[in-house]
Amino acid sequence: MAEAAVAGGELKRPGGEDVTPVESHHFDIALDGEESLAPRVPILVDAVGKEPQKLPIIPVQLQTWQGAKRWAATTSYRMAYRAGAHAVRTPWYLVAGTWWALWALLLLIGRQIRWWWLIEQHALRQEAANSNDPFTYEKLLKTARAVRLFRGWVLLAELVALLVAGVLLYALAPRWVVALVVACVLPFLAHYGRPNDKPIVSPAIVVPRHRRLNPDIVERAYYRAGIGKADKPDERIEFASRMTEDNTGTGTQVVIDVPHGTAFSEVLKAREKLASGLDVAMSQVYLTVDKTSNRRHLLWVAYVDPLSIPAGRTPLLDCKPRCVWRAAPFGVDERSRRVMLPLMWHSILIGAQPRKGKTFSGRALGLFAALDPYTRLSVFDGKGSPNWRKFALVAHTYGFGLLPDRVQGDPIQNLLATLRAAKTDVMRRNARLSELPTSICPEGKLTRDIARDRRYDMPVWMIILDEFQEYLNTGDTEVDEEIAELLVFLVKVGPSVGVILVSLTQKPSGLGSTGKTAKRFTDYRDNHLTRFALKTGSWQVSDAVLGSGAYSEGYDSSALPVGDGSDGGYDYRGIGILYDSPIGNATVRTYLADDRDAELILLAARKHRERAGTLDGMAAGAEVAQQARDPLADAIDAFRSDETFLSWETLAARLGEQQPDRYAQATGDALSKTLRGLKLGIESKAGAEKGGGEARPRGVYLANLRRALEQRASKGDR
Amino acid sequence: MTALAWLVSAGVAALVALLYAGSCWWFPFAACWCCSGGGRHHRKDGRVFKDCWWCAGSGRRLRIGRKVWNHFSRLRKEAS
Repeated sequence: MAEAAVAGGELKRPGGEDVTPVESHHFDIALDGEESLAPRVPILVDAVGKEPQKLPIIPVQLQTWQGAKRWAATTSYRMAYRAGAHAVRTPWYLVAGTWWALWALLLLIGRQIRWWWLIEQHALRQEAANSNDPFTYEKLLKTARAVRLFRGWVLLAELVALLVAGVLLYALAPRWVVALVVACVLPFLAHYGRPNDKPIVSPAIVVPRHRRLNPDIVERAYYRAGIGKADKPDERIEFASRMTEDNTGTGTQVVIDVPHGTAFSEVLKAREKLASGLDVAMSQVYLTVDKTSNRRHLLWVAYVDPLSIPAGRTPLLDCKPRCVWRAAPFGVDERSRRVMLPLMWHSILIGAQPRKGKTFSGRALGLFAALDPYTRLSVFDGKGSPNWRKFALVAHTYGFGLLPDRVQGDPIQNLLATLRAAKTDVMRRNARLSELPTSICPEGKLTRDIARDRRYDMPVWMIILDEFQEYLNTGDTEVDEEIAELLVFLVKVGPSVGVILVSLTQKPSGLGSTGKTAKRFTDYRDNHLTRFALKTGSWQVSDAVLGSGAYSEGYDSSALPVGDGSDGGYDYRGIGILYDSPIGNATVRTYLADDRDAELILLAARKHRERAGTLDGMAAGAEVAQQARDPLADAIDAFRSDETFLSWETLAARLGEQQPDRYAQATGDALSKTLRGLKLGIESKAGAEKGGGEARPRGVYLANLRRALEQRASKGDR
Repeated sequence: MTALAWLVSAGVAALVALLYAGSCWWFPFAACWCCSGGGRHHRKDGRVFKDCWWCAGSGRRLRIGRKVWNHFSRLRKEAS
């Protein structure tokens, strides 16, 4: 129902008063009250939401001490270099300068004559003659004559003054004053006289190509890469900041706005083309999206390929005690900033091809934990390589390889025992932490004080598994399943109560075949929180390590450079992509800690633990698991020094005496069956025992047993 | 007359014309026919005078050569 009716061409309110028509009032019914139809006085409001961006007072290069030093060094070097170059060229400068100075004198004389004769008025007079205007002509001529007269006097005075000064200078002043005057005047004349394209002083330093990043090159690179179009005005690349050197002094950075509608993921995909357009290597180009807008990102181009510079030895070599609650020094990123990886509450998966630095980087984390005397460490190495063996000095539990041996017992049993204990411990910790008062345990989480306190028995526990897929493929399905189940439980629940899992694998794609364990494997792998992928074979493997979706964000570890330096190229081992870590994503060059460094650090770590009194577990000599029987070794030990043959009965009896808990019930036949069942070439033969007289019972020769042991050792230690 | 005589006289004529043109360029004005450059006509006793009716008091006249030149120059300007 219309409230405002049009009456006689004007809008009138029902009361009859005029209403000023509101432009947007196109409803029949007034939606607001009557007051709102009155014309409003505009009120000024502050623009909210966007903070004005303050440019740094101190330039970016000088903000850090490192940057300032580098700047000072480069600048002073450049100045000294220039001074030297110019000093050598000074004679040429003199010759050229004199030549152009003479020419400048002629130019000046010509100029002054033109000034004197008021040459510019000639056109006006001609114009007057063209239009047959004698009066104007007359006026102009009169003016010109007067001006010429005056200017002539001025020039005359100048000439006289110059002559007098010159003569006096030459006659009275000493030679060096004359020379000084000439030297002062000559550069000005030479500068005036020389043509613009023939400089006298040529630059001494020409900046080389790969450093010169200027806006034209960047624009061209973007347009060629398919981002933005140069010819359309609203699809151009814009620069949101000036091009500066970044504060580490290792590259140039600029903030770029892509045209509206272009996503940052497209820019990432074009990174290779950008690198080609900028004429640098792909690993020199880094793109970081801006937090405020997806349209804006930071382009950083390094001067040299950052991945070719090794990160150096690990700072853990100072062997000082560390604290696992702090971040571990992991490596340096592409800008040579330190990457400190916090370990608490996290699980880390490291995956790569063999020989690419995976074990070394995982071991670096283990060394860090080892240096904290209050951290419990469990190390299990599926392939039994020598890299981890020294951890026996500090590890609470450890297992190397899959086969049992004298020193460690049965590694699989150790692993099972450890994992079972860890599971019980996790559940106990959860219960216990929830019981503690909030003064000791705020937020129900493990704190450093609780972890270090013996009464609670809740130390931070780091479990390292190298090539854990071997433990899921031991050959005994039950054991595999149990290990898999425990691992999945631990990776899900462990980190929140202080159990840190570090898993390394070279087969991150999974076990493939059998269902349940394979599913558990992928479950275990995907539940790790932090991922670190060194060079992998393909992007699918990279995605398996980093998590699916990493490739579409631009993180592809198969694109990492390859090379171990042996052929004269760079050593690219130890470079990996850190993904989804608590400090974000980065390309990291890990610190190096080789076997000797590891030994040094572990010896020091052991000392710290002895001092703190936390050396326990297998490092202190305890046996952790119920050791599986090693009948071969026991049988060898049962031989006395002068015996070469023992019958099965005697052997069984002796073993029963020596190790009653294991062999009390053993019979000769059972022993014979067990030993021959090891398939190591042990044969039951008839022979004569010492002190047995003429009887030749069936038994076994010591040499045979020893050979079998060697055979097993050579098979076991790969 | 022989061809040489023709050439020489043509050359001389051209030179003269050139010099005359140059002279007209540099000195576009000459003395007025009427007042002989003074710009005024005096009474016999010299006390009273009036401006020359021909040159409007300027005493100058545009030289003939300059007039020709101006004419052709204007044609050219208008044509372009």
